Amino acid sequence: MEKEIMDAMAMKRALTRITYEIIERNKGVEDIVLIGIKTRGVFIARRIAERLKQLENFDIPVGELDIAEYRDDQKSSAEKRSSEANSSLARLDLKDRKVILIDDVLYTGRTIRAAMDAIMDINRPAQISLAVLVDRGHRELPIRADFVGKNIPTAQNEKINVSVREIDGEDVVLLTN
Amino acid sequence: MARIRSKKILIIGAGPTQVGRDTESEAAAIQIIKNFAEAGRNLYYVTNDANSIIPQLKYDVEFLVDDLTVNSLIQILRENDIDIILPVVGNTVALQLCEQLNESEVLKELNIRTMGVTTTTIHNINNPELMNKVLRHIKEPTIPTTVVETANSAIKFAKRVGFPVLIKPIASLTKTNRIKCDNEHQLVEMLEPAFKVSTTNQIAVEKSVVGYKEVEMTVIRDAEGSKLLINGAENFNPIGVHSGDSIIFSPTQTLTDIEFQSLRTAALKIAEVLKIKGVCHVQFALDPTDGKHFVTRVNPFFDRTSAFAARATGYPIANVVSKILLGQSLREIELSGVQKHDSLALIEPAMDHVAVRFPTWSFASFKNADQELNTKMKSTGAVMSFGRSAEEALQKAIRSVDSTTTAEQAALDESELSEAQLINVLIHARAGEVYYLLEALRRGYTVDELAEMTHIDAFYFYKLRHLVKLERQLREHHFDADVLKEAKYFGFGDTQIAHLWEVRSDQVREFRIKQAKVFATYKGVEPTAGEFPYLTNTYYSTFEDEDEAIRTVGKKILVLGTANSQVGTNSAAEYTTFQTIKRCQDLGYKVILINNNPNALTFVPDLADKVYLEPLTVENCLNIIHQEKPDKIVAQGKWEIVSQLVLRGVEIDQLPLSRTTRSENIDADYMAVVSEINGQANLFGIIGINDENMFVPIEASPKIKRQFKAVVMEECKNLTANGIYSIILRKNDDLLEVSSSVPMAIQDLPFLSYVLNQDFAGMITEIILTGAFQIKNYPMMGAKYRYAHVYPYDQFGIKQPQNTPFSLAIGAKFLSN
Amino acid sequence: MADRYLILEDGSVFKGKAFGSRATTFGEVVFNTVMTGYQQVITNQIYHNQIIVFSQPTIGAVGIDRSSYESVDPTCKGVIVRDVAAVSINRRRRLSLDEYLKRQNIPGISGIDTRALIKKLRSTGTIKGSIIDPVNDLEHAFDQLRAIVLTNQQVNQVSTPKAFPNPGNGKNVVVVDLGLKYGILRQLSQRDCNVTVLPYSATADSIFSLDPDGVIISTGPGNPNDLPAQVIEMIQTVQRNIPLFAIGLGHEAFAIANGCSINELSSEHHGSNHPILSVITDEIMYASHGQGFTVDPESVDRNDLIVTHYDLIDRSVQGLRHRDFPAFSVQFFPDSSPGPNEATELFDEFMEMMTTRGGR
Repeated sequence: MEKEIMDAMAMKRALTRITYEIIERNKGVEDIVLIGIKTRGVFIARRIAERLKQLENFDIPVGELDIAEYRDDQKSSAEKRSSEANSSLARLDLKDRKVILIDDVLYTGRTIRAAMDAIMDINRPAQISLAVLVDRGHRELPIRADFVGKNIPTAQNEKINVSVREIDGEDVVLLTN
Repeated sequence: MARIRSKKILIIGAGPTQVGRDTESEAAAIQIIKNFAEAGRNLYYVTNDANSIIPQLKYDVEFLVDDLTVNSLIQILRENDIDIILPVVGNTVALQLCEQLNESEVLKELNIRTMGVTTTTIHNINNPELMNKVLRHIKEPTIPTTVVETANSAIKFAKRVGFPVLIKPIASLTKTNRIKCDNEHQLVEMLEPAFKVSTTNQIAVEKSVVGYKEVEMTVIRDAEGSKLLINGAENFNPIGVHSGDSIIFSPTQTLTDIEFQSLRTAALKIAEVLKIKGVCHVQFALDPTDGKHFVTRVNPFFDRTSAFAARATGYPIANVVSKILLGQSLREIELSGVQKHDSLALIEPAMDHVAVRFPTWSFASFKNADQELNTKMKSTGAVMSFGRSAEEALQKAIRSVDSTTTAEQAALDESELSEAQLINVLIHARAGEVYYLLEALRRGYTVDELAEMTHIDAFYFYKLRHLVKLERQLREHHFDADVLKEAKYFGFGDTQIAHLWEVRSDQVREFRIKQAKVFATYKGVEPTAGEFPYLTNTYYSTFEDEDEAIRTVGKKILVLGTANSQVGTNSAAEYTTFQTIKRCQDLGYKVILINNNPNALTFVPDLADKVYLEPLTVENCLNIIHQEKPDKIVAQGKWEIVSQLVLRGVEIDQLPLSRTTRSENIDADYMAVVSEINGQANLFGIIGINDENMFVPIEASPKIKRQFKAVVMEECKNLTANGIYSIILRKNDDLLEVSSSVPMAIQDLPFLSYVLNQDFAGMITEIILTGAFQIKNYPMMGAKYRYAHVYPYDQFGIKQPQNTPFSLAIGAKFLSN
Repeated sequence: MADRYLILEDGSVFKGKAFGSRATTFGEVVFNTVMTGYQQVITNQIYHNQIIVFSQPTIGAVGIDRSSYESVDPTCKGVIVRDVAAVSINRRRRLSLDEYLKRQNIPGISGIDTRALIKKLRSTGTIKGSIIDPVNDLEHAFDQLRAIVLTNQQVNQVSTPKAFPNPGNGKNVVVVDLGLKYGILRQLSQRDCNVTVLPYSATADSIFSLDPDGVIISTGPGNPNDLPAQVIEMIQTVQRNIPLFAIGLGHEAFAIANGCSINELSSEHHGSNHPILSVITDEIMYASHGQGFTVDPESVDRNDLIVTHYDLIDRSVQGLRHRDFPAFSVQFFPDSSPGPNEATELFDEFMEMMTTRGGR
């Protein structure tokens, strides 16, 4: 069974709202850095950056983060430090910046934790906050999103599939079980 | 500096005019080519339309004559190194060809892309089941439809969704319309021929929405996804009568805001999901009982509906779409007319008038044809008209049509039509239906009865009843200024009033002007409904306070347009008028055009200096002549009106063109095309002719060939008036004889102009206006061409007779050699 | 149909035919270019004190539809059109426009060269006019027209005197009625909101006492500068505490509450044909407009407010959003009655705002 949770319009609206909330909570966007978690988080980050650019006429830096090497449940820690995958991130100066981590789905929280590890490896930002398109619950770590597109209570056996038009051809969030 | 090779763009034409397709495709092509050529694009245009105006344009475009088949196109693509195909000009023909080209994989192989509409979209549109999937995806309701490969599954489906059902062969070899089957028996009968024409042995079957309102929405979308509605138009007839055969009103007349907005939103969503770059016409079936709708057609190309939308709103659709195709966004495109603010093409047109498109028929020439209206289009042309009320617009349309139909209407007044005959028409719509509806109202049928019998919205019967009431008042009050004023206000013509007063129309005119002081006023057609100052060159008449049309200054000429397309003169007439206008301008005239064919070539923006979009009637011509005081008036055809105007002391230069081509009864072998100017004869070339075709080069023995020059020059001595002539020649064994000499026939003019590389229409215009023309000799084109007339017999469902009169042709096409 | 005259302050006279009520009427003459939805236009209370000229040539064909009222008691002063559909038997058993206007005591005049009239109005700007019976002494009629002073207390006159509910099971929304357009209530009903409509005089405290998830400041008639100071103060307090969505006159009040100044348009703008740019998404949409006033873009303090929407034709400010609070506003009518419905999305945005930020 497949159920459409968000269509293109709803996704658009959610990103619009998150953008406004970012402006509201940060009193100016000059020191913000958006970091999208690969793969779909990056596209979401870019779209938020586009919106901020539209509103504030200011280019917000967008970094890309591949946390595959950082997941504590997937890889040994020996491998992860040597990765060059996140070189784009390394080029960004995060010191004293407000970092907003952006991902498509927030689930156990392990991805976010790994992302925070990766960022801390590179630099020490003034603040890290988290924006997600979908929060599906079932956290295994004490992590909470600051900006949420949509809360979708799910069962463990269900899957949330986020598609973005940049790579999937359309914007849609599906729930499958 | 090395230049990057500019991409080669192939525009696929629609082919010859026929029932269902007038010159709207060519009109769109002209505007696209103009914009593309001005932007320096590398253009190719392919068609087999022998009346194509494109080779006469001064723009840089390679004109290719070829069959519109997938094989000849593949050859063109290869030979010319085409990079891009533009399929949005050539109607369904171009779209079908693109689909076939895509299937043949040649596009992939040659790395050719389409412009305006993607191959995926074309594929979806050509396949109802895929299209329904797309519609369901965007949460649009769809008509239950299936594709079957056997008769049994078709019957099973029909029983499930309920009769009536419509069937249509998939990937048909010929142009096919949906066929309605009311019951199982009919379905079985129609399935067999349908399977036969399907190349894939598949038939689409769908639930019929006959009786629903039929509504057209025309939208524009750009590459960024900005989009707007151009207009909505509503069919007078419900679904069941082909929309090309129905009277159409814009704006919509009987839709609530909620209904209208749901259709607008749906049309925009469809343009979005199909990623249309350009114009998209979406047709809907609207359930009159609950306002729910289905999408019945998506045309992401220029068609008769978008042509009507452009005329009705004054929004220059083709120019804006050209710019979109050239990569501009709607936000960057300006409407040149707006005189204040940012003049964006994104202004959604608002109308302060009612526009009507009204079908015209040729059944007088096809007596055996079935005149009943159904899903197969039968009208051979259309007129359009404007008014400031539905009555006025409709009444003006009614009196736009040619004199034969007016006679038909007049006859109906005292009609011997039996009640049974009348009822039959009320139940089964037929050509000229509106005259019967008026007659029914005269006989006391009520609005509700008629609405029930015809499934036409009661609104229209209120409007028609109002006309009947005005008609009665006129009958009862001869020469009453107030009644006359009221009648004029709602669109009655002087001739109609004269008929009801049983006097001559001149008496009505005299009374109207001198005593009642009722004068036509002209309103501009523009897309902002008066909100902004707007420079327009198009006007229509009404009877109100303000007159917006300012008399043209300078040397000016009034050109009587060709009005609705008719068999015989057909698209060649529009071609000729187009060239006449150009030549008048070259001779320093400002051209004022009267025309009312919504599909006209001559309505291309930037052609005429001023346009009166008015019925071509004596009254309107006199009014406009009075308004504009032209230095000269020129006409091509329109004999009835011209002779009436001449009777009233108007001087008109009639282009000397034969109305029909060479007589079909004469055995003829050759045609010499000559000019005779002030005693100087010039031979342009010799064309071969036989029963059906004209062709170059000729086949003739050396003996015959040697005689041409002398025989033709001798015959030229008999030509007294300056002009361009066809000398029909016949060979008698080895002897060449003159059969007859006539002014060039209008139907042959485009073909002869092309193969002899001349602008004969321009020459004839210049001769008539200046008395002479400086002939320069051009070599005849070397290529081989052959052309034949196109007839509407197929559409009428009757067999084409032997030796079909050329005067019944609806178009002309080049034949492959 | 009897003859009637339309006379204008500048001395012009138009002769037409009566429909609707036969009362003599005075008002500002404004034109509207929408193509459908005459009923929604006529019943919109923004037209208090105004006589509406329709550019669409024919109105009345679909009669009066019970689901298309924008107010129970329309307060416009008259209707001017070229042609009114003389539908004598009601289609779909509906009330005819003529009959409806008679019942509402609103005069109409048809047979007017509305195109000429609109062209005049676009150059004169908004001027007073009167629909009258034929009289011998036109000068007297003009004197009366020139003497008449139209009230500037429109909001007071059209706002509900007492609070009323529009129950639902979802979000709790307070609508402050400055001349409420029912389209707003329909949009909230479709989203199952539990609505309480309060008079324009509602204080922030009286609003807080209803514990709303969000507050809507409605559309309404007249000059926003004539609004009582307490409306502005109420907005200033509410926006700090509860998600707020202000529309039309409400938008103008929201702008004033945040330090903007408001200019009068030289010619009022009523229609749905102007493209509106949504700045954040860089997308175009269309919606009905009905405005005689506009936010002075120079006066917008960019430290407090973001301009979210522009009219791309006249570059006017069409939407604002507060930087620090969940509060936004639009000049146009997002409820789509009449007119395009792509802006109804803003109500979804409001719903989501209430979900994420609701509750103090």
